[in-house]
Amino acid sequence: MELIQEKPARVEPQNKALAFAKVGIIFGLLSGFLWAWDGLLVELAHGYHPFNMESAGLVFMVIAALCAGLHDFFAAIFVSAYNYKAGKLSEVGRSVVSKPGRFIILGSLIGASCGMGGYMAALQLAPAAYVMPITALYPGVAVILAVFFLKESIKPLAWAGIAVCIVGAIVIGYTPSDAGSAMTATFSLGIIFAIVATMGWGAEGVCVTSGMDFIDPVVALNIRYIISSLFYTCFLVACFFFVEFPTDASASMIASDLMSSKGLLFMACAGVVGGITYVSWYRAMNMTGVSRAMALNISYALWAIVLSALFTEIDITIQLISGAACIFVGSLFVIGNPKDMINLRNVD
Amino acid sequence: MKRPFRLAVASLFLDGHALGADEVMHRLQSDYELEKHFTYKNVESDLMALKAVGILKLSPAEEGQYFLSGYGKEKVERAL
Repeated sequence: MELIQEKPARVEPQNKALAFAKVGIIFGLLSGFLWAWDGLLVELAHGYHPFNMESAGLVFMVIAALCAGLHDFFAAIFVSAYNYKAGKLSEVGRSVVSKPGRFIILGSLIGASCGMGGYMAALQLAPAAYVMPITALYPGVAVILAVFFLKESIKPLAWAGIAVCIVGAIVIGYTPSDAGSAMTATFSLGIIFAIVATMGWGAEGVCVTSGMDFIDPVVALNIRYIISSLFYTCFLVACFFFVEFPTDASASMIASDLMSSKGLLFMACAGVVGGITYVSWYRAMNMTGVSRAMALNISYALWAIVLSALFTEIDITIQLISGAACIFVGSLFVIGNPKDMINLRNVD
Repeated sequence: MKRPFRLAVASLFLDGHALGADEVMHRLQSDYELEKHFTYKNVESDLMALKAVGILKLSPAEEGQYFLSGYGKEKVERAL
């Protein structure tokens, strides 16, 4: 009976659905804003050893996996604590063994391996000037997959908004590069990895959203972080056994530097902020659809400029302002009329 | 083992009847009442999430009642 007493006053169901969609938009925008903070904290961590080690080849991949793994490990702790407080920790176990849980696990593995792994490998093999604009296309991939697999309904204005957001992210990420020097033997492989990362992030969103039809977003996120932490742990353990480290950067040296590094604190903070970011992003994907949530999340590029202007000595160029303006206008188009978001999918 | 809560909510609609949040709570009480997240607010939120993705539809006959769509029936049966 106690449960019945907390029932709120009756509100028109359609109004409730509209309010639900609007909350989803707020979560989408919040995810973009917080992701920029996450990036700033990771950048601060990179100012300390061993995160700032100058390395090449597989050692670079080890450092990158260490960063990503620690970030996701701290995020997993934060999200588990959040679910414990909300009384949802038991949901995590039962969701993992359910059929919808398999989509979450698949999405997590694709995101950690193809998405982040491909991105790191691409940055190692090709100039960032080529990698960043390619990976900025991931919302476009997600839209196509969401329309095809989830039957997501997207109005023409939202299509235009998504396109404008992607153009904005490309404009911000693009830095002219000397094409001649970029064409190394590994360049093509780097571009392939960048495409793999783009496809991986798009596919992760669609897989996870499909699972979230029947699993609470924060529970799904808990599974995602546990899976990605385990993935990076396995990768790092394998590397420590099979990769030949240079004498000035041995595995034991990296581990010992890590334990006494101030960067670890920044990485822990980034993990917590990343956890909150992903909670917002997953909720947004569940409440407003994959395509809109991704387009709103990409506003992180806009916030990153604002934060960089406030906390670093970055030059605010015409290129950055144009890209930011594109993202702002595109986000408004994506938000469009929230009434269009009451029914997210074209189904009977 | 118990089902994930949102899946348990959706599976209640498989018998073809329209249900509201009160009825859903009543039917799931025996399995989930000891869990902290088992609240009216969360049940309502799950119903709205299921409606947003097209698994449930609002009943035209009774206010605040939902029923399973054709698409939803197919999805729930596949998820069980």
